[in-house]
Amino acid sequence: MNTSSPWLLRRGGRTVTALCLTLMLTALGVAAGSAKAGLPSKATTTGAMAATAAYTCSSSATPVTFWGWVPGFSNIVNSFNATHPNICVTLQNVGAGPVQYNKLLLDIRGGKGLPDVAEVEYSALPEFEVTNSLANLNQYGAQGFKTDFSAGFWSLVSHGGGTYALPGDAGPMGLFVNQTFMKQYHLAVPTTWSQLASEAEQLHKAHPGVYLTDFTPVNTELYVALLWQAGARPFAWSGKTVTFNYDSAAARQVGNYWQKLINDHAVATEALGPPMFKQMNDNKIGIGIFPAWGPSYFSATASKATLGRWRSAALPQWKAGQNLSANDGGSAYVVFKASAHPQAAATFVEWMNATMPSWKQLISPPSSLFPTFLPMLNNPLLAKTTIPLACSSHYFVPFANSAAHIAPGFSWSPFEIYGTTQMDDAMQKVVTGKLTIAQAMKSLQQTMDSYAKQEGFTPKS
Amino acid sequence: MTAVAEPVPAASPPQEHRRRRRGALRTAVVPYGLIGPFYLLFVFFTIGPLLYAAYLSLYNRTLTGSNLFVGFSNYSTLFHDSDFWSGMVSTVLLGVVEVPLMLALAIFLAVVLDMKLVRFGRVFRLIYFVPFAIPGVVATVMWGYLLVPDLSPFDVVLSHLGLGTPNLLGSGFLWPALGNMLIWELVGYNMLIIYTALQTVPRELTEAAVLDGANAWAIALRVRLPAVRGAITLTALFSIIGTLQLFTEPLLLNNLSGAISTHLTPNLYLYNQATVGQQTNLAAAGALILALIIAMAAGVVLTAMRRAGAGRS
Amino acid sequence: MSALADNRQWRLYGSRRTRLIVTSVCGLVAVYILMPIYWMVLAATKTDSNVVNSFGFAPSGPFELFRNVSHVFTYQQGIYGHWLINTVIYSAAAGVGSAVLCSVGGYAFAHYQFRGRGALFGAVVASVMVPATVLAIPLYLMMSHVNLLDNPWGFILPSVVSPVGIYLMKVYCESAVPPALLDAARVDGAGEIRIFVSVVARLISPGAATVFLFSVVGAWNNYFLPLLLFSTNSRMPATVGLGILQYEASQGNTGSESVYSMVIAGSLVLTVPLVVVFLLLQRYWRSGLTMGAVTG
Repeated sequence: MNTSSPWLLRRGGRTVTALCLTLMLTALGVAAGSAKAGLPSKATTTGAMAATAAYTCSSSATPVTFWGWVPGFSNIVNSFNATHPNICVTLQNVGAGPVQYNKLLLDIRGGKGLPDVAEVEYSALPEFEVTNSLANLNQYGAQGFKTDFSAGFWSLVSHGGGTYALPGDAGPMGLFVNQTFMKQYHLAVPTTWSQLASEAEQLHKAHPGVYLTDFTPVNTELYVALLWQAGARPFAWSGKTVTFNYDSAAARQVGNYWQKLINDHAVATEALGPPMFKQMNDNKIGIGIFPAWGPSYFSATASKATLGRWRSAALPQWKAGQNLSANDGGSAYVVFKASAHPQAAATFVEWMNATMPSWKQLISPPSSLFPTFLPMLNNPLLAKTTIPLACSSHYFVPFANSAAHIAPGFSWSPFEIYGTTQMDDAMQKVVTGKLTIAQAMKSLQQTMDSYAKQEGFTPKS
Repeated sequence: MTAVAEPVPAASPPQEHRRRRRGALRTAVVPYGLIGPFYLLFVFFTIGPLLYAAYLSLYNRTLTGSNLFVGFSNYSTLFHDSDFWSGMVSTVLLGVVEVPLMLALAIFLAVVLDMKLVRFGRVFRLIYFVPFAIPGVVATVMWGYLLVPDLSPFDVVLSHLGLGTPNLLGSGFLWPALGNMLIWELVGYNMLIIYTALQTVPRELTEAAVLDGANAWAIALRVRLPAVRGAITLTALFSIIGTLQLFTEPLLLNNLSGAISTHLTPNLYLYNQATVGQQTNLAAAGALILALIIAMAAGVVLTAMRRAGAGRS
Repeated sequence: MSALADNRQWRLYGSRRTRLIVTSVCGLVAVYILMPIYWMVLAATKTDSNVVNSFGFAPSGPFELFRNVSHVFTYQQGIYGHWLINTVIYSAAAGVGSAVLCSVGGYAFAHYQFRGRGALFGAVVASVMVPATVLAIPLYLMMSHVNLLDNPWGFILPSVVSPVGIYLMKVYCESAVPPALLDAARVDGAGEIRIFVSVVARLISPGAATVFLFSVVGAWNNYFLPLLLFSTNSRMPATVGLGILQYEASQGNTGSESVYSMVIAGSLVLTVPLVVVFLLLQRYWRSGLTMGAVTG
């Protein structure tokens, strides 16, 4: 076939072996070099949190396995192990959110392979409660921490008298406002939704290339937070009955409000993430309706030009003078009944979520979590946090206020791991104009009612 | 391709008899022993899950742990599920457009390289085959970052041309983007299979055509290509099967594109039902339905290719 | 691989203009194929903000390739190195296992008559049509019962099962091993195993090398099975690890750590060894493919 073959080909097999060996040795060398126990790992970044030295547990310590995906958890685990020598926590990152939940649920079903502690978002928590696999933390002293958390967040981790997780981080809602943009277009920061609507409409009529804000219905938890703030309670469940109500008066109020703005092309409709941030970089979107973790998400891809221009503000209200907010995102931490060492696991969960030493690390990069832990929420350390996007302003303060005013009485359904993806599907059709929000909500209602039936629940209206 | 031990003459009768019996025994047992290890793994890791899936498809296990026999109700649910079928239709449409395009390109490249109409043919062949060595995760990440608005150099070019910065992963561009990824990933591999088949076409046919005064294209189309119909059928089959099973690319692009629904392709839909929805029974039923549809599609292609070949002569 | 074209004669076909057009088309296709790789290599040399803010097809800013690659290997106490080693080990094991088992099995299908031969072979080939991803959940539950979860063998063993490999080896054995040779060996009194080891193995080694390579590629690039299977980070292969890094980049929740360039550098590190191995062993897989491509 070949009339001539270059020297590489002739050397073929021997060269490959040599190359493979070299690669393996290099990889081995680098891995060994950076994983030596007790040595701090070399520079990860410019300045910020250097990785804590990996602590070597004693062999008699109680082993606890922790599944979580937030960056920086390895530092938390190290700190805990160093200060609690009789417990040895091992962290595994088995994937974020639904990837981890799938493995957990399969392992619950198969009866093996569960960790002791796992990170579970508030929206997914009821689904685990329903499998009857979570330990009731009241038997490990959870009630002692009740006053460290607001009623809103405590109710998200409680059900039927039991406490099934400790609250971790949160995403209370607020606004992130580009001051230069607002000055340029002579706009005031809206304090009511009707003010936001009229400003948005006027702005876009006068300047068709820019938008006051972005509405992201495909970020389903953000949309649910908006429903939550308006007083809608789309989910209720107890025992084997569940209620889905996407069509209450309050929900319709929110839906119609945004549908009008979409129809009038008065808002952008990018998903919360890099496409939206790019428009913010380019001064095409002036306000982000953000949860507390929004600004740090934005800052990862913020352009130099936009730094320093942004300030936080409170979420607009439906009635002037009200002060209600809602939460988008955040995780709680559970202990499984199947754990071999539930007390040690609970100790870790309590230390991680309800102590200042832990939270001092968690609010810093790379974790950058926003606390539900009241002592940290009210601590000047949090208030003084700055971010280059917001210059030296204390951008967390409006979000902290928001956290203190989360509207009470909200709960998720036990089917939200699936439900959030179905709402996402329905909302995609809204963004492309195939459905109105009202129609999307109706079809979502049908989908979730039949899913509940498939799961042996009775949907009640 | 048979091999039966021939008894060797010139040995004394008892020895010969013994050798013949031993030989027969060996021949009977040996092949099973040879395929044994492979088949053991095959049964456990392919047949086993398939049978288990068939079993699962007849039950319904809930989050609360109850596990009831429901007969064919899962199949019935899926037959009435518009999401499943809309994803199926979209994926079939993708296949109808992308597979012929990709194969046409692969065949064109294979033919011109085979006929040495191109200089540096071997370099081109190597380049075309490189995507095969690239992990699907990496290929999807690369193309994803090439198309996502904040990173995409295409958007930069388009905006310089005054065409704005469209979201190339958005709903208008998503299917072409996926089709493009498939073509990019598969064209080289398919080209190589057809090319190597072309290399083994006997010279006599071609020489006869040359003597008859045929030009390059006629030779390519009427002499060399038909001789490799088998290889083309093979690549067509694998491409269709691969396209109908499309899953990894939309799954990995989900973070970057806001336009990927849970039911974009049937395989993705079943994956989500099983993992996000914890409906493993429904997903098992769906897997069997999907496998059946793929088998039918394969059958259609095989019949069409056979008929095309028969029609020629 | 009998009579092949005399190069000079081939060049008589096609006018200069045809060849010019054809070469241009081939060149365009080559550009198309190389474009994402070129982008990725360039991006791996840039800082994170330059990846996002500069033009993708042109170099920009300080040359950060080595810094990015070393960042990949030092992130989270060097987990990427573990991932890469795992990938190499799992893929090599799957490749060797697949090459051996498919060679032995393909030889049996090619040169022996036995009951059920057609059905057994047909079943293996037909299994290509079953979507592997959805069988993964039943497989997971089965493996849970036999304690294969979070176990490298739970990944290696299924990766050995290659229907394409069996098909390829059967076809290859049919054309590369003349039955007369086998008969002669039997006449000489050699046992069946002995025949395989000393006669057949050498003849079919290019095909076996092809199966080895294809299985290595399959296991190297496999994402979904190891994603489900492994719950210990240090056992995961690099595809899963890269997925974890990519998620972190897309969520931006890494504070001041820049992950985009790390994902890209990690992708490059994952891809280069495979491409290199491929280029260096092309003599083997090309001849292996040739035999396999001769289908009826």
